[in-house]
Amino acid sequence: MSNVQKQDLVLFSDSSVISKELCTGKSHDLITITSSPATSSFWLLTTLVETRLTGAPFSLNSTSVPVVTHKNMNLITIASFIHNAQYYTDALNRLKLGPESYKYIDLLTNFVIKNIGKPRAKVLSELLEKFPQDSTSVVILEQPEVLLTLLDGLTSDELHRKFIMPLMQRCGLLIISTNINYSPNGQTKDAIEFSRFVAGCFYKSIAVLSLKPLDTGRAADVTGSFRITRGGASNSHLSCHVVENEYLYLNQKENTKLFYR
Amino acid sequence: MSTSLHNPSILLKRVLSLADFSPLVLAIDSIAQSSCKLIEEVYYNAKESGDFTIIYISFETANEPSYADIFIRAEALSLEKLSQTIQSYLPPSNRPTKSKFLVVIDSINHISTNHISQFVGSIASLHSTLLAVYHADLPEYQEKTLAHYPSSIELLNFMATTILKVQQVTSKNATEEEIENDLSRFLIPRGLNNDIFKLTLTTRRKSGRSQSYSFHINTKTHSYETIIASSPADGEGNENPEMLQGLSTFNLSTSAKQKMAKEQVELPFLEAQSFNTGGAIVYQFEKDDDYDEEDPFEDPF
Repeated sequence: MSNVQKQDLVLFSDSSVISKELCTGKSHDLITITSSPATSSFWLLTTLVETRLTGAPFSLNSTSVPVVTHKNMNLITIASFIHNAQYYTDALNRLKLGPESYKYIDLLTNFVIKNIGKPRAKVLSELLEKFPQDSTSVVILEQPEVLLTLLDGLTSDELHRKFIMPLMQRCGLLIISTNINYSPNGQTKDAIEFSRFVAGCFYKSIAVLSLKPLDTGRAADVTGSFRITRGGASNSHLSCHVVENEYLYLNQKENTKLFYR
Repeated sequence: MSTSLHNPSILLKRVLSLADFSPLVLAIDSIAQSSCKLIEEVYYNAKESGDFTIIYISFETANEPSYADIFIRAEALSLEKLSQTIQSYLPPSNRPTKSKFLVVIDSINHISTNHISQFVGSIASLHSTLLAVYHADLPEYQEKTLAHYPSSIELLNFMATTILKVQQVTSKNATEEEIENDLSRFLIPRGLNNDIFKLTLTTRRKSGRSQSYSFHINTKTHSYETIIASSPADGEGNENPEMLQGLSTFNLSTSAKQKMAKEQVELPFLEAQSFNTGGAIVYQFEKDDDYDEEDPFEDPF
């Protein structure tokens, strides 16, 4: 596989990863990333941060990353329920992206202590207020489905209506990374709410990026497959369209390589 | 009944342009093919046929569609408040008006099962058509208190006067089973949510009779192609001699002369079926029968 030519990552028909049409302030869009513990989406999230800040995913092709000179923290906001600030800082420092070029919001540390006894609507409203109101910005939100278990009685519909939809309104592009490694066929209330949440994200998305392990099992030279497909939302407000594609990818210690499938 | 209504394409055109009064049009979709292209197609046809005011109720659409005259964000509104807001834009049903209203709901799944009929009843009126989108693959938890109550889709199917079911056109590379298997694991195969999709139209007349037709819709060219389903009975009647070749050394095929002779065979009791009264006995005398003409009780009829 090492002799195979590496491929550039392209999501939109204007040969871009994050199209310039997406963050003009005129529209609010969603891209959903699905992953599993075996195929973590962290490399893709850092690649998207890099693309937003430098204009292209240079690290995927192991080319030298240009130094980011601007200090506009509103270009991209990262909010996570599973990774702390240090985790992102270390990963992005390796890509020569300093903490002054992006904004990080820690959503999980002391979440229960801070919010115990508060009504669900108030907790969601306070979470929302942490995000900047800027319809030209990109927000990366990692695993918001954790809220379904953190807030007692919270339903998928309530999470979408009181947190995801208002958050979409606050930014130009929302990228949600969600884990689909649970029993989707279960008929318990929790399983149904999780499934409903993911399906709800698909319907709102203009693109769905799926990371999944190989069906044939583990391989030394391939970590998993990465599929780009259209979502259920209308993209008639854009002149470009999502380029459906499927890659194989290999996570290495320092970088990730993409290959056409 | 006009003959034009028997032409499926014309019927579809009339449904999409909202030419016939239909209080509730139900669009059933799935993530394999969402109904946003269908709604755009309804708008394309409706704007040609007349003046419509389109009220768009958004539960999951962040961007206001260009065709929406009134855009209502429903995520922050209670059901009662939402119903009041919609009604404030609609004319009273008892007052005659020339203008028509189309109320589009992008996901009626967000309205709970026990409120859905009341909500639909409050919007659908003589002057407005409700176009409600229902996502068939959005799982729904049935509360134990509503265990014996119909599900949302059963209620909507019962109330809807027109049902538009949107499905993906399966590519040659993947079977429907493979696509369903992938979707059940939240993996979206490539080639879905396309400009070309399959639409199954079911219309209900006042008499209660329903008609169902399938189409291939191309939203780029706005062309509709009727899918003519081949019934299994047709296939049975058509004997294909090639299928019988090589199966046996016996001659299994039938010649034209043999087929004609087979068709002319008169099956037993056909004569009995021609009696309108039914249950009549057909009796034919034979030479050994003992029949006394003078005995009135001997009459076999």
